[in-house]
Amino acid sequence: MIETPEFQGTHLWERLCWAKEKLEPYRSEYCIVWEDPNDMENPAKVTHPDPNWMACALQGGILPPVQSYWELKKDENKPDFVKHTRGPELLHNMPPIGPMTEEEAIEYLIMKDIPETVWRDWDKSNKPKMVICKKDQLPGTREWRNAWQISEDLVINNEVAA
Amino acid sequence: MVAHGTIAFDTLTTSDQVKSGTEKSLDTSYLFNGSAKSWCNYTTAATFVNNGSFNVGSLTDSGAGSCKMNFTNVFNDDDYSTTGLQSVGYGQLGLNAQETTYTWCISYDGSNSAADSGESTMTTHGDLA
Repeated sequence: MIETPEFQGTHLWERLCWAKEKLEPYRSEYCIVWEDPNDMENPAKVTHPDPNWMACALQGGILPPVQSYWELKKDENKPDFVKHTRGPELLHNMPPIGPMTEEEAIEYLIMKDIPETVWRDWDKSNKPKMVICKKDQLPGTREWRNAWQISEDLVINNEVAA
Repeated sequence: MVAHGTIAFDTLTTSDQVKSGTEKSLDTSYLFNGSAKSWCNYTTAATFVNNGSFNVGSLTDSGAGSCKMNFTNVFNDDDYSTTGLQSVGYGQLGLNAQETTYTWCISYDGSNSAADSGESTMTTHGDLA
């Protein structure tokens, strides 16, 4: 396995350039189906992990901790936000996290790319707001894509997710 | 033998012997500031597929023709540039929203309804955080 250089202090974008050149993309068979409680008019959303990002996550030593993204989000939500000033501190100079399993990588991605209102208490309402499933468990056709919803009688772990 | 390491320089210079014979130089910061910072090529028709990408954490399929590209290295602010195209015969690809963490485009058909597309592309330029 290729060894990750010591990347703390290297711009994250440069690390991604390195990864694009050196690492084999990893195409996960999993995706995340979720519904936004603040946007129930629209269909269920499906988040697909990026193969290059997955390769970085599995490799380790490249990505910042997910908490860095939370801090950036907090900054962006401030009423006087103009532009990020803590990028170097939170993304480039923060010690990168080690290798993750595929499951850990998907959990990280959920906490990075899906609203906290969805994942923080995903199973605390009448039906789950989010489910991780295999892509072949999605409906076989996209003809009625805008009608997709998470099933109300979903049995977690065993049932079709959408 | 090639040793791994870093070459640091501020300017690239070429003699441009083949074309004009006139020496030209380029500040290397242009290479960083002028490069695309992320891109993806994806398909929404039939199945949702990420065909290729850079600086993308995930793609969110938000409905028919709708794709949100979530960045790994986020942007400094939301005033960066997103450009995109989709296959001939569909309609336009519209910018639905962008924040520092994502850009979100929707494909439209000829009657201006959101609809899946054979192949679409998004590319972003701007300043990273």
